[in-house]
This record gives sequence, structure tokens and C-alpha cells, in this order.
Amino acid sequence: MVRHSFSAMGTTVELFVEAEEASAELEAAEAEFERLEQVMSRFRPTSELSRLNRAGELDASADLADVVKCALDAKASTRGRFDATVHDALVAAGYDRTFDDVPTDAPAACEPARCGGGVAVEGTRIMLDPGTRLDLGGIGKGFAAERVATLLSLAGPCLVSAGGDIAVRGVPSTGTWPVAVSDELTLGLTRGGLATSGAERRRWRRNGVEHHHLIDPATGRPAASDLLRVTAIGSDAVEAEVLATSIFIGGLEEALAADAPAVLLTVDGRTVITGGLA
Amino acid sequence: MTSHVARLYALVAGVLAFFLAWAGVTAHPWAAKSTVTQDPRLVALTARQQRIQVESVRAQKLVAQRWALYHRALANHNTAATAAQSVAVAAPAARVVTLPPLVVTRVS
Repeated sequence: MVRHSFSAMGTTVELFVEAEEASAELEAAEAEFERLEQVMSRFRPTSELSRLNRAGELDASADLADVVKCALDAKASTRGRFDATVHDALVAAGYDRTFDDVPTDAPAACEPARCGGGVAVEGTRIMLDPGTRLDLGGIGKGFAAERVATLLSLAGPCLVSAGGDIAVRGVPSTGTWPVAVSDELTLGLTRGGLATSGAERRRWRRNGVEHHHLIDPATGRPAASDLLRVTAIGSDAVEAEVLATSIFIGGLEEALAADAPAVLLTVDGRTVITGGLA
Repeated sequence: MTSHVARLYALVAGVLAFFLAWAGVTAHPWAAKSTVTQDPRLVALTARQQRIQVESVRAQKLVAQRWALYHRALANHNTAATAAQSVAVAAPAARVVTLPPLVVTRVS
């Protein structure tokens, strides 16, 4: 098993390939992450996304158009629980720079910003309603993991983890890709994707109040959930990311009713497994 | 006068008899009959044609039977493949395992 890791998209990316030699594919995979970060990052002023957010419309690359279409599909499939128009709400909550540079404590955050502005994609032209800006942090890592997994699969069965958002291609000789969800629980993944969303990391304080990065589009504030962390399984990493975020925002009761394949950690410390994973 | 008329009738009857005889000889009925019944190559060809027609019908029936068998086998194969695919899709993409983890998922 060949392993390679590097930093990208504000997190650690780990690549695993079951092959004797995969240096060319690993190099291409790392370059692809860098290229996609330059497309999707809201923290890089020269990225395509930053140009779109400034101008309100853009003749974008096929990659940006694809990921925005994915975000629109996700919004529709989660009835608005997942929404890429949370950019201004994140900024208002204090997440206005790369997370490493966000002060852990600071004066009061701004008033919550409106979410849910109109977004349209025609071919590769993207148009935003006035005052609407996009954040692709909730979907971009999964999107990149899927793209890179496709590249890497040329060398053999592979797993791509972008800070825990995981895409796999093929099955290793052990029969499954073991992924630790917690200290006590490991899931074996054979296809599709897996992702984790939660409020236990990427937290900061404003005027003594805890904030986190998962915005509820209905309120424009960090979601007040009875879940601390959600790990979800999807047909790919993008679907898993969207599912994990929407389950987190929806809360435990809704998650139990939906019974999607997921591992839920509640704020009172219980681990609940749904969707037939046990 | 009477003898002229009689001669004329006799002449017409003679000409008619001549043409009838000519037609009879030209029809050559004895020759055709003897050729059909006697030429062994034609007899052999006819017999062969009939044999080939029978064999052709038999071959067409055999092909139809084998084609039907092939279609039944193909349908069974497709049904089995669809069922196997449904089972694979229905199988969970993930389950709890006791293997040592390769990687950790966390809030990204």
C-alpha cells in the first residue's frame, strides 16, 4: 500500500493506493488538489470563486460550474438544509479568513446575514443574485476527493481523504477500507464516500459566545443542533458531505426518522448508528 | 361440275389430313415421353432436389429450436445478472468492522 500526504484546502490530504508504484499518479493527484483549490477557495482573492463573489456573475471553468451545480442539487435534495449561499453568514459569524487565522476569541460577531439568494448556472456561466456570495467549503473537499480518486484509480484501488472527507475507488486486498469514526468505532468502506460534519472542531468565540462553521441557512447563524458530530455514507464523497451537514443541522430526531446510513454523536455523548451500518 | 366439287372437297380433305399429320409428327409425343423417363441425370437431379428440400426444412427446424434454446438461456442469464446486481447495490457500502483503521474521518 502506497501512502502519500500533504496539506491542501486548509486540511491534511491523505492518499492510499494499493499498487507497487504510483509516483506519477500521486504527483498528478497533488497537482489536481492545488488546481481545484485555486478554483474553489473563498480565501484566495485570485480564485475563480472569489472573482465570482466579487462580480456576481462569471464565465467560469467547467469545474466551478460543476461544483456549483452540485451545490444547487444538494440544496434541492436537502430542502435547503445544505446551502452554499452561507458565505456572508460565515463571515458575519467571524469565519472571515482561513481558519488558522481566525481569532479564537474576539468582540461580538456581526448580525447574522441572509442566506438563500438566487444562483443560476447556464452552461458554464454562473449568475448570483445581488448580495449573494457562495462558500463551497461544505462541498469542495468531497468534490476534489472524488476528482482525485478518479485520477489515482489508474494506479489501482485507492482511497482519498481530504481532511476526513473520503472517496474510494475499488476494493483493497483486505476486502474493505477501514475508516476510524471514533476511538471505538471503525467502518469498513467498500464503495462510494464517507464524510464527517460537526461542531467539535472549527470553533471560536465571539463576545464569549461559542460559534462553529456549520451555518443553518434558515437562521443565518451557526446551527443549534443536539448532535455534536455526524459521519455519513453516500454514493460518493459529495453526497456524504451534504448528507452529514444536513443531518447535523436537522438534529437527532430527524436523523432517526430518515434512517440514512450514518454514525451520530449526540451532545450528551451517545453514539447512535443508523441506516443499517451496525 | 359434280366431279369438280368432289375433287375440290377431296383436295381440301387431303390438305387438312396433311396438316393434321404434320402437327402430329411435329408434337413428337413419343420422343418427349421417352426422354423424361429415360434420362438418368434428370432423374438423379430431381431426386437430389427433393432430398435437399427435405434437408433444408429439417435444418430450419433445428435452427429455430436452437435459437429458442439460446434465447431462453440468455434470458435466464440476464435475470441472474440483474438479481446479482440488485444484491450488490442493496449491500451496504459500509459496515462496522474490527480491522485496524487505515485512516480517520473527522470534522474537516
